[in-house]
Amino acid sequence: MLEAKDIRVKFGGNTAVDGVTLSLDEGQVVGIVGPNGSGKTSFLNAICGIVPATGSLTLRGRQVPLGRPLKVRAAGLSRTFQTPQVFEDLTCVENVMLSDERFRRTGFLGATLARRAMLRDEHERTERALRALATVGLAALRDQLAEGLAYGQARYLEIARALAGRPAVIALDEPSAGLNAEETKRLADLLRSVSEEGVSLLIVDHKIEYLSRICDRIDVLELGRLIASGPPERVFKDPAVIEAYLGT
Amino acid sequence: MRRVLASERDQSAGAKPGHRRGKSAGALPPVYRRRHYLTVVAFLVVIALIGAGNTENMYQISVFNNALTISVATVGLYFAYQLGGMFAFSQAAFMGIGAYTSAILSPDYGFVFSAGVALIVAAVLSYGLAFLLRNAKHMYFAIGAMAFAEIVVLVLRNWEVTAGPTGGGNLYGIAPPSVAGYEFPLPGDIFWFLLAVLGVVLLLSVLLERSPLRRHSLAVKAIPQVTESNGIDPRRSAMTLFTYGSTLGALAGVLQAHSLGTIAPESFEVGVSINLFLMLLLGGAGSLWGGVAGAFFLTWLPEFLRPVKEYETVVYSLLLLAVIVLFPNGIVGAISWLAEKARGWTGRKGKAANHA
Repeated sequence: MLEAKDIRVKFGGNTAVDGVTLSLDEGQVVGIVGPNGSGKTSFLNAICGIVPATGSLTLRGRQVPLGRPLKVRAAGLSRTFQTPQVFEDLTCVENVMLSDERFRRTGFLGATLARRAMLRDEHERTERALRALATVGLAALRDQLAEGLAYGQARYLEIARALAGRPAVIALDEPSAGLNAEETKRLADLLRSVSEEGVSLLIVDHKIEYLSRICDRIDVLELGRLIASGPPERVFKDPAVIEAYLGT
Repeated sequence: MRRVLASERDQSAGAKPGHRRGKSAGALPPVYRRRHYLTVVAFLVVIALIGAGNTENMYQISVFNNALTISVATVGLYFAYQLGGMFAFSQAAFMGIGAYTSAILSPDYGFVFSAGVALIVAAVLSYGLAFLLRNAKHMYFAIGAMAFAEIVVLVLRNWEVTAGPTGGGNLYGIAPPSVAGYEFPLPGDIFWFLLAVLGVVLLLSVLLERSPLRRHSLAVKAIPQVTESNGIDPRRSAMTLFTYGSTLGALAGVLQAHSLGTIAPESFEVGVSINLFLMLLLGGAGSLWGGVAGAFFLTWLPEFLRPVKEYETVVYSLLLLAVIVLFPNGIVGAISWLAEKARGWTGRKGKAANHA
């Protein structure tokens, strides 16, 4: 489903990601952990095309150029951000509609000459957005402006937006940050159910317990390098990981 | 392609009971349910009623005509700046492009054809400018737009075609508008023509407001990087809106040239664009109606200040300051706030009456 090979990211003279290679199968959940500054978010940004990077990326069997977020998204990779990035001037349903995978009739001609067809598309987009909102439990807030959302709700709204785009892979950057234990458990259940439907998940996070619950595999980064990879129960007992990440 | 989530299937479109795809607008976001069209009609009726009583007064109706013309340009600025996020200090220059193109062509080709060519020329040039400056952000774009405007004014002043070397770029005796055999020779006739054109512009603009383009542009303006990660090309909506806004600027220029009968390069300098921005901001940049309100307010303000004669400039400046301080969201923002208050007040009164 996703194959990233030899991904390297440099900021000036610093190497943030140093030749990381990883792959995801359909419906697989992979967690990326590592100490702060280990290159986790930089790696996500690299495969999402947000920062310049070298290496190669294959999605659904197709080669995707790095550094081109539009192409990456079109190939089926959605993402959420470390700090929830919602559009405060738009309603929740409009926020989710932004991630539609087909942007037909969204320009000037759609608004004017092809209006009937545009409205038909808008109805379909709205329905998909409502389904995604219902999946994360925000259907009741559909017409509320996103500026009034609580932090946790904004997180779920981002996940709904990623889901509505019908991606093959979702990259989530610290989705549990700022959530309490109960909310984190609900998040874990949601992510597990999403993966069971065939969507692959790549999760950067720090909460080991919930990652152990939902991840099929854990990849550990340190100083931009992949130092361990495997099932959670094995990786978290790896002495190299304990030394690098847990520090005990 | 992944399968549909079971949880999604369970709660599919049922989130809105009774909704039938493509038939009902009930499921669409609230922006599609706003009564924009009624507002446009109400506005046109009010202006028509006020204007109808003044069509014989040449001076008053000329001020009306000016406000209507400028409104077209400020509505364009709303799209280019407020929705497109582009500091369109080129708006007056596009007015000039429209005005001169139409004025030069109309003696041979008639008003409608010349105006059409003027709009196409402006659309092509504005798209080209937006494309050239597509990576210039905020003030860098503003500087680029200003540079373009300076070049346009220089060309108008010096080009033979615009009577630059002989008349300093001033053109006189431009024929009044005429459409399908109907002529609008006097300011009182031109008023109705301009009102109709503004009506069409507002209706077209409402269509854009009620479309995905608005959603995309607001998102792009807020967090462009995130919209790109969602598959939306941030440059596309900005360039489209800048082109639309600038073409409306050119339309305002066409209307100005044919309603006044004379044009000069000075009318299209960067300072005029700054005035247009002032109108939009004072009117309320957050709304399509802000440009219209600002254009009417600033066009009529000097007329109301005639009695104070030598203090006019001081009072004018103080009034501008007062509007900025008292109405941070502009005139339309203040009206919306008052309407909201009034609704709350009548709501409370209604509840009190029910309890009694």
